[in-house]
Amino acid sequence: MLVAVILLFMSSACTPLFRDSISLSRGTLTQPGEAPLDEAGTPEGKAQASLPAEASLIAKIDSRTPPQQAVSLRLTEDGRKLIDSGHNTKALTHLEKTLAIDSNNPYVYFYLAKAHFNLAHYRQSVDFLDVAEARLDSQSYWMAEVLSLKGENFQAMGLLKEANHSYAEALRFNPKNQKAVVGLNRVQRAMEIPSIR
Amino acid sequence: MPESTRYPRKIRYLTFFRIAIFGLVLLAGGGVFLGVWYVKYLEGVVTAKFDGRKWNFPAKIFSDSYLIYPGMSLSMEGLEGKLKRLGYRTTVGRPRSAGEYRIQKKDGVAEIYLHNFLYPLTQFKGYPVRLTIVSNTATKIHNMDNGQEVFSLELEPELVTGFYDRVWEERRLVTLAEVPPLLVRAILAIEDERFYHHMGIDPIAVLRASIVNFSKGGIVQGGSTLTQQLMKNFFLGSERTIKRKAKEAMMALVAEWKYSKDEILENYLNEIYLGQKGTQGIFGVWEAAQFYFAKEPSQLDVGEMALLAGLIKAPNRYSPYLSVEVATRRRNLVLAKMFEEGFITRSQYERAHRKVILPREQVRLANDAPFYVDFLRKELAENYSSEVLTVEGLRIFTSLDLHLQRIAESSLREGLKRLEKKYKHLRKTAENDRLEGAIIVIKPQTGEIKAMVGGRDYQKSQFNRVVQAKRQPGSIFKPFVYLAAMIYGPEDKEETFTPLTFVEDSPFTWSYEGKEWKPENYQETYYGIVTFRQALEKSLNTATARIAKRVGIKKIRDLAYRLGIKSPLALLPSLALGAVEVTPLEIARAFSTLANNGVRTNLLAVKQIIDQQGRVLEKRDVRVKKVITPRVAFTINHMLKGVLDRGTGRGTRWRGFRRPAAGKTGTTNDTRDAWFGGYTPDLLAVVWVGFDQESELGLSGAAAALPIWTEFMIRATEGTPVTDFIPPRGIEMVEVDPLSGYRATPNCPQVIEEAFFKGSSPEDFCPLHPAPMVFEEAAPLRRSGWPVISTGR
Repeated sequence: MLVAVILLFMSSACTPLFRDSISLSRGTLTQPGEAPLDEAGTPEGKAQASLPAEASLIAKIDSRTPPQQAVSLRLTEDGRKLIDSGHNTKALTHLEKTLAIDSNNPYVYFYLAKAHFNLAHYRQSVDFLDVAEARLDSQSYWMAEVLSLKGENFQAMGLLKEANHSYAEALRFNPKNQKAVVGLNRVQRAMEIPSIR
Repeated sequence: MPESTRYPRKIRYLTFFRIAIFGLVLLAGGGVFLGVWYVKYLEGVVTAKFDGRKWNFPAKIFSDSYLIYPGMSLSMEGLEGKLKRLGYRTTVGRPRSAGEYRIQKKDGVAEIYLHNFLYPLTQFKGYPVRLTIVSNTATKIHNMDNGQEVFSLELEPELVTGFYDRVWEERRLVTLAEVPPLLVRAILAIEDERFYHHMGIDPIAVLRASIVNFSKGGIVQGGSTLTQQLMKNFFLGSERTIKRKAKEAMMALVAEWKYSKDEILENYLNEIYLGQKGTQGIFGVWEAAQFYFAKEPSQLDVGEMALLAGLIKAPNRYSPYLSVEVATRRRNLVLAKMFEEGFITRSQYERAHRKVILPREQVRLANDAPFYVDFLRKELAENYSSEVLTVEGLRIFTSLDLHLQRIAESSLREGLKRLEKKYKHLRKTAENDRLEGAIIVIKPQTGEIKAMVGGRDYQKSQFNRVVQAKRQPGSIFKPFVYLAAMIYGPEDKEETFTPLTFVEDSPFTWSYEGKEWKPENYQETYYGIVTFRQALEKSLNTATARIAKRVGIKKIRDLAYRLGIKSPLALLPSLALGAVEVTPLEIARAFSTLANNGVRTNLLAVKQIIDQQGRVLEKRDVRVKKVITPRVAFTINHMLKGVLDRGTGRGTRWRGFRRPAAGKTGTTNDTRDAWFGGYTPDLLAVVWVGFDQESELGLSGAAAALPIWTEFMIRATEGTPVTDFIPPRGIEMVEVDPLSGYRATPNCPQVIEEAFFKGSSPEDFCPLHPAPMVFEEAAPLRRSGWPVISTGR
């Protein structure tokens, strides 16, 4: 039993540096020879299928997409995978490089905001979301994502009124945005509770 | 002779003898005491070195990395140049190990085995890729190991320079266990075959060397052991004196007494000098394996080990970078010794002996961007002492783009020379009063400083005009006035200013605080009633001053601060015409906010700093702040595009720069400063020209700075995608007649597409050039711009 526990611990503790390597020259999170994987270990196609259609950046690439835009979207998608697998600091480095490639890619601002949020850099996250908001204002799904993340940031900073407003706005763009639904309920409950002195 | 006289002589002899013995004993004792003291002293010196810091590791400055992706513009020559600068070596066959490449020009194929590289947070392991280039465009990238398509490829940053004390010793430490035993044996065989048998000095080797040297009539062979060589490198100079040799021998004995053979050998393998790469000295076997073969010591083959071992005696003479024939002869000598000693088999010997050493080009260390490096040094000094920067081996990743840096340097240098050639009065003889200039290049989306040139010749003057020269911006400040006008409108009433709002361009007096200011136009030429757009495009002083008066100087000043100006700006009317002092860096930062759709970024030169083990010590994030709305930013950018298309910046167009871009010339009233700041959505550059002693330039920004900017931008944007500013939500693009300010009709001789906030565009058509009217029934037949008459039917 003890041996099994030790083996389990060792296998989960072993995270070889090369396996986490996500330099841009890879384009994906994998070792040479492996199929592109997402953070759950399923092939890229399946991972894309689990995201809503509007969220898929790869789906925005077709034969008419300018090369600079295409590579920027792919690299942003790689950044998303890094965030989803918990590598927020690596994601920041990666996404900052991606930002320089295509000045018209608005999604990279959103994911930079997400990485900063996960690292508890709330003010920086909100700054990136302000930019994302201005550039994504014609896409309801994304506006809801931006505003709900903004709500999460404000909530983390203790700005409940601002959080409430952001969540409400998010639901206006997409009533099905779960983060906004949950967040709004939480904030409204918190705002009802009198402060304890 | 009486007995009494003989006795005293005997006593005198005895006394003398005793004194002599006593003296000798004293001398011997003193000698022993001094000897012991000296040995103790040497012991202290040796242990202090062995147990303390042995080597300094200079911080290394890296440029930004280089991304390649399918569809990007890329020439085979450009790619090969980049690979060479990164130390890649060409190979005849398919690249088999990291650092090799092969180019097949006929097929448009480049095969590259990528280097391993230690990035912040990532140890990248190289693998082979095949890159296909057709008509100077990268079309496909494949992983050669598995055939998979790769969507992007990052070539590692170039090493720019290092921060070192007096000498740059490039070295990476290895343990003895990390060095292949065969390499160790090869080195011992050629340098000190009795290493494990002597005590630090080898009398047999000394005797042999003495005989050889005597027979040759000079010193042709050394008898020093590895230990002695190590002591010499650690502590002593290279002079061939008996005193130095004696000290070296004693220290070697002390070292052997205090430390094990393996410890001494390990230090030796890390200490030895093995070549030169420009200003960088190559020390230690790890660094040498990288320098000569782009491999780690464990990856070297027999021949490569023999070559390295052979270099020790005279690295620069036996270097394959200098002479392949000499290097081959030396390598073969070492191979013969290895075979003779039984370290390698006959087949290993013959295989290694047959292997041809390919000629290779010595790649000069970039060592460019001295102003940029100086700027970095000052930035780093806030958090890192000079000692830390010269000994800790930090790796500093920057945003520097060496390609853009080289273009900026040559554009400035050649541009200033052309000005001096064209305008005789600019040719000054005084060393400290030559025509000078500066360029700064920024990526607006991220705030990364891609290039910085602080003067025309760093060797003559290290004064960095980009960050240290406070100069009057003059009319390059005007966009901030118009921007404030779009945002705030006039102070006195509710009104929205648009690019087609009219303003009077004529002399007037601005009274303030009991004083008066009378702005004047260049060459006292006035245009009467003009639009905001025309006033900005033509850079009209009195029109701009009138606008500033209506908006309010405080709002303009505060806006300039928000955009990125940091120098104090006096609240005086002349602020509107740039009668303040700022640096080119500040102008670039403020313009960068406009280029980035109203989002200000922190300027970045240092991106990340890691230590030798790859741990991130510092990461400087890209920071953004939305300071003006995208629609306001777009409007001013659209107006500034007109400066290049029709206004004072149109010289960029007839000089060959055709991309969509915005910009502004800058000339001060006394023509002591000439500026041009301009940008595409992806790249911004600001150029300043003038004299440090503030002599009169006598030239406008269009004449002096614009040509330099244009040359830079043409070369810098070559092959990059063409991008334009995209109208954001809330902007309406309307075709208008710039003369009347109304919607254009087909009869308008001039038509421009103007940007308006939704709801503020003119509703009426141009009254100066009316179009034919049509009845409502015929409306489907009418062309755009033809008014329709309703018949009420």
